Amino acid sequence: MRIARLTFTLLLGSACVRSMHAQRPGMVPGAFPPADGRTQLSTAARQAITRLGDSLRAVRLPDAPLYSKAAEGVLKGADETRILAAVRTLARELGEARASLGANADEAELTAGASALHVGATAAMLAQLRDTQRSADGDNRSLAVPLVALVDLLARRVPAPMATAAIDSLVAQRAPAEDFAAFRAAVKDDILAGRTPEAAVRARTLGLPHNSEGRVRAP
Amino acid sequence: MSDAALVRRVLEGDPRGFTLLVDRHLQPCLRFATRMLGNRQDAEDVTQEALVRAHRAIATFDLEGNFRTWLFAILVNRCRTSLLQRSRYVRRVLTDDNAILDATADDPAGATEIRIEIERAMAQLDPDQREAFLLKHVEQLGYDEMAAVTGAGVSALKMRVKRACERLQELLGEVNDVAP
Amino acid sequence: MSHRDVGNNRRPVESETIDRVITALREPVRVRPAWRAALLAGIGDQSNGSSASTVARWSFRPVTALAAAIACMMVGATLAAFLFGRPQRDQSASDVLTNLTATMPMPGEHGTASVVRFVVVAPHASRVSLVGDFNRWNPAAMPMRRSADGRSWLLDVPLTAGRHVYSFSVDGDLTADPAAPQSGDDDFGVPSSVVLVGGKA
Repeated sequence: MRIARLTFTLLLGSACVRSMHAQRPGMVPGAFPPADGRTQLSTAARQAITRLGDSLRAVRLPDAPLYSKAAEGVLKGADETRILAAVRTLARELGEARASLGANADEAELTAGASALHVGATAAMLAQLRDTQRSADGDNRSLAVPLVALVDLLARRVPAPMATAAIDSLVAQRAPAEDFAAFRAAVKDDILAGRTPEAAVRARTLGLPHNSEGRVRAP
Repeated sequence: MSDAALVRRVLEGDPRGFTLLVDRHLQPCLRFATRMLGNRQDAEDVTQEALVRAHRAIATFDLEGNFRTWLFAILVNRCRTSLLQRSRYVRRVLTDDNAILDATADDPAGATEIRIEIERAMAQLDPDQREAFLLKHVEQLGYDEMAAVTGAGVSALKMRVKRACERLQELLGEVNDVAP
Repeated sequence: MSHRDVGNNRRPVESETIDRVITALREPVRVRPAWRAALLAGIGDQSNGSSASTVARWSFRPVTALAAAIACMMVGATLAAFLFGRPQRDQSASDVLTNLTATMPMPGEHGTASVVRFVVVAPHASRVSLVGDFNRWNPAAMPMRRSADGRSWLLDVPLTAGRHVYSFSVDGDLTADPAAPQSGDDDFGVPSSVVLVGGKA
C-alpha cells in the first residue's frame, strides 16, 4: 500500500510542525549570518526567502545561491524590497537555466547559466550551447567552464549574440578549459588596451590559427 | 586506507589526511544533522562545528577505536546543543505562489510529497527518539555503538527506537488508509 | 515480509511504512562544494594558527612556482603585477591599495578545488575579512591574517572550479578588488569582484 497522494499545498504554520521561537529574531540561523549591525531581514522577508529555497529544493534546484544572494544584500545594506526582488529573480533564472540546459545540468552549470541569463544571455542562447555540446561531445562534458567564460564576456559588455557565438565555436571544437581561459584573457587584455568589446571578440575569433587537429586555439 | 591510518597521517603532519577523512564522513554527518535538525543551514553549521572540533581533538582519538563512532559522538553532541540553543525545530515545507518555477521536476509523481510528509512526521518525534531512530535505521549503527555515541544505555535506546517507529506509524500509517 | 529488529519484536505488516521512511531518510544529502571548500579552509586556517599542536598544516607552493601554473588558470589579476611590483595608489587617499588574487593549483582529493590566495594591502586596518558567495557573505567566516611585514592581509582559500564573486571587508567597509574584474551583475549598487577558478571543460 503506498502512501497516498497528497496535495502539495501552501501550509503556513502547519499544525504538523512544532515551532518555537527563533533564537535570533529576524535571522534564519545559518542562512543569514550577522551583518555587523547592518540591515537585518524582517521575519516576513526571511520566511519568503526560506519558502523560495524550499520550493527550489523540492524540484531539485540549488537553494544555496538564494541564501547567498540574500546575505550579500544584507551585507551591502540593501533594503528588503531590493533583496527580495534579487532573490526572486535568481530563483526564476535558476529555473530557466535548467529548462534550457536540461534536467541533468549540475549545480555549477545551473549557477553559471543563471548568471549568464542575469547579465544578458537568453534562454535560447543557453539551449544552443547545450545542443552544440551534445553534438560535439554527446553530453559527456560539463558546460560549466564555457558558461563561466560566457558570463565573463557578457560582464565585459560583449554583445550577447557575439559572445554566445564565440563560446559556441569553442564548444563545437571541444576546446579544453585552458582554451576558454586563454580566449577570455585575450579579450580582456584587448579591452584594457582600448579596443571595444566587439572588436576584441572579433579579433580573437577571426583568422585564429588552427593546430594540427583542426582545433581553434587562441594565440 | 583505514580511518586509523588516515588519523596517523594527520598526526604525522600530513594535511591531506584530514581532508580525506572529511570526504569520507562528510556526507553521512551532514545527512544525520539535516534529518535531526530539519534545516539544511543549521545542519551545515553543526556539521562544520563538529568537524572543526574533531580536528582540534584529533590527538585524543584512540587509534584502536572506531573513528565514525568517535566523530558521531561529537556530531550528536553538537546537534543537541544546537537544538537547545536555537530552541526551535521548524520544518516548513511550503510552496510560494510567487516562487516562479516552471522548471520541470523529473521527480516521480508523489515522491516529493512523500518526503515532505516523512519530514513532518520526524519533526514531531521527541528529539531522543528521532536521534535514536536516525542512528539505528539511517546511519545503521549497532546498539553498542549508539550507546557510545549517545551516552544512553542499550535498553533505553531500544525503547526510543521502538517508540519512534510506533509514533511514525501513527503519523504516517493513517495516510495509508486513504484510498488511492 | 521483512523482519528487522525493532525493539526485539518481530515487525508487523505496518513495517512497510517504516521501510519507506528509512529508504527516504537514507537518501544522501548532497554536499555543496562551496560549503565543503569553506569548511576545509576553516580547518586549514585553524592549523596555521596553531604553532604548538601536532595538527596537520596546510602546505603551499612557493610563490615563484605560481607563474607556470597561473597560465592554466583563469585569474582575477595578474601574477606578474605581484612579482614585479605594481604602482600603488596614493596611500594617503585610501587604506585599501593594490591587491590581487593568484591561483595556486593544488590537486585536491577530487581534483576540483584550487587554492586561491587573496591579498589586500591595508596597513592601517585593524580587521580585514574576505566575503563572497563561497562563505555566504559572512564577514566573520574568513578573517584575513596580516603579512609578516604588517602591511598586507592574506588568506588562502580552496575554491571549487567556477565563478566566484567576492569583496573585502576592511574595518567593516566593503571594498571590491580594484585589480580584479567587477562582477557585472551586481544587484545592490555596491560592486563586487570576480575570480574565475579553472576547471575541466
